[in-house]
Amino acid sequence: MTIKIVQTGITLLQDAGRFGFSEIGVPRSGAFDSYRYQLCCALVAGENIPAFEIFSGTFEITTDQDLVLAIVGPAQVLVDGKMSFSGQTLSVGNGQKLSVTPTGNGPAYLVITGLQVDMVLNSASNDSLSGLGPKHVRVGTEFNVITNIEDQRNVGSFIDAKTEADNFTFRYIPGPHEIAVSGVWKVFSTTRIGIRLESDNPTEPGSANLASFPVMPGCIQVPPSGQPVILGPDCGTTGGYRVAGVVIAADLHLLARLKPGMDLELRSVTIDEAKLAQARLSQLLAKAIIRPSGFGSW
Amino acid sequence: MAKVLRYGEQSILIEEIDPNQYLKQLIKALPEAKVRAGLESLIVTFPETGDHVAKVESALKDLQPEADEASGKLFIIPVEYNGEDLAVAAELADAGVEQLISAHTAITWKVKLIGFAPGFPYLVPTEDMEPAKLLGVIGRLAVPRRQVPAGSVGIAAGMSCIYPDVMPGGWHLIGTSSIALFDATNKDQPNLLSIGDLVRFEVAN
Repeated sequence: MTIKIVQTGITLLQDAGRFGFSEIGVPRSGAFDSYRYQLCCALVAGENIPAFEIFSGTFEITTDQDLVLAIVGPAQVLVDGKMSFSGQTLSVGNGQKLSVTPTGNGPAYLVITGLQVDMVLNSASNDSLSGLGPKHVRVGTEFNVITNIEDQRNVGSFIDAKTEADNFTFRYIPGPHEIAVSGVWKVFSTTRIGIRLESDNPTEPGSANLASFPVMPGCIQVPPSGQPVILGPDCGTTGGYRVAGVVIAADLHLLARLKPGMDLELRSVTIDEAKLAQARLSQLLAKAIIRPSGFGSW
Repeated sequence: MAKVLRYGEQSILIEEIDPNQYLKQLIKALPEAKVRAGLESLIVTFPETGDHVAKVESALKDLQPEADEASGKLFIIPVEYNGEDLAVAAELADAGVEQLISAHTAITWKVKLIGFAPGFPYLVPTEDMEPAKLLGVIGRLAVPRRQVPAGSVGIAAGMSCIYPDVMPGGWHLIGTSSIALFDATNKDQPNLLSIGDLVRFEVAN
């Protein structure tokens, strides 16, 4: 009872992240676009379950059993070459081929109900900084799947929520160090470790580097060049560059949708604004899944 | 006096503090929060978004510095001094390669912090002796390497380190060790070294 990888594209296994080990240097990792990931899990009525995070190219599998799965994020989805859809729970039959090709900004997520992944330190996430995590997604890799007849009831669920952004404004709490970074920046490069920004008018980074101190995803580091780096999910647990601010949790997932050459805005906000943004996002997620009729809303 | 600074929506950074003198006490004083050390700082992370500055300031006010427990276990780690930056590092220290190796092996190092990457130890000299002064002038690389080989022994900013695995890094590489620093299959204690442990390097034969 397995699925087999036919094409990989640029794909990693991720879940919500690897929590509780930061004091021994283990990055948080986890789904880069946590919003799309959570929607994808919700489509199969799960949470914090392993997902394929497909950045680019085509990810393709074959299966020797009936699968219940969900895909979220802009993507072309084909089942045995026939057009299917992202944003809903699908059933893919024994012997069929499924391919997912992201077509927009940021990764698409594929969750397969019952996918068996060897957890490393309580998480199915591949950490690109240290290499920690389950076996990598390679052509020919097989994964066991254990399905349950109950899973079928999720088929036909779909999402009623936007999964693409119109503009990229990142709200941040200023500090701990006083450095001016608000305004418009251009994206220079992006990885899961960090997003490098650039501007013709870099900021003033202040005095030399500090003794390494704890950092986290969302930190806006300012190296001596004055061109900031926003840390991503696979960032190290400590750093020595000054930190001008930390992107609020409600906007962190948008980092995954950035591409080199795009413009983004950094905007300083208060703790109360961060709280409100978080509450709005939770509300949005809670209402986003439309279940098929006959099974009630659960 | 320590500086208490807002650090994102859930955390507080305490700067200008000896983390080892306050870490355990602060964990006790703020049971709802998570406390983690930096080299000269502490981060306190609360489960919810909020204005936590005053809470941390008042908790800190009631605490007296605790004696820094000097020693955990002692680890003797053999090193082949064949690092790519060995000659450059010796030059920066205005010393010969042999002199640099003697200094590195003469120092008893203490694990000040595990951070950056899984099991990565920041080692500081236990005493401010001549060998420590000699190595202290060597800074970090101007441009970090994208990939440092696993087991590399590095020095920078008066500290030493061992890279547990292949990863990016900006320290001067002076040698290679075959010690296994991190075992993810051992969930209870994946890290070989812990804060407070002592390390001596010796020339591998």
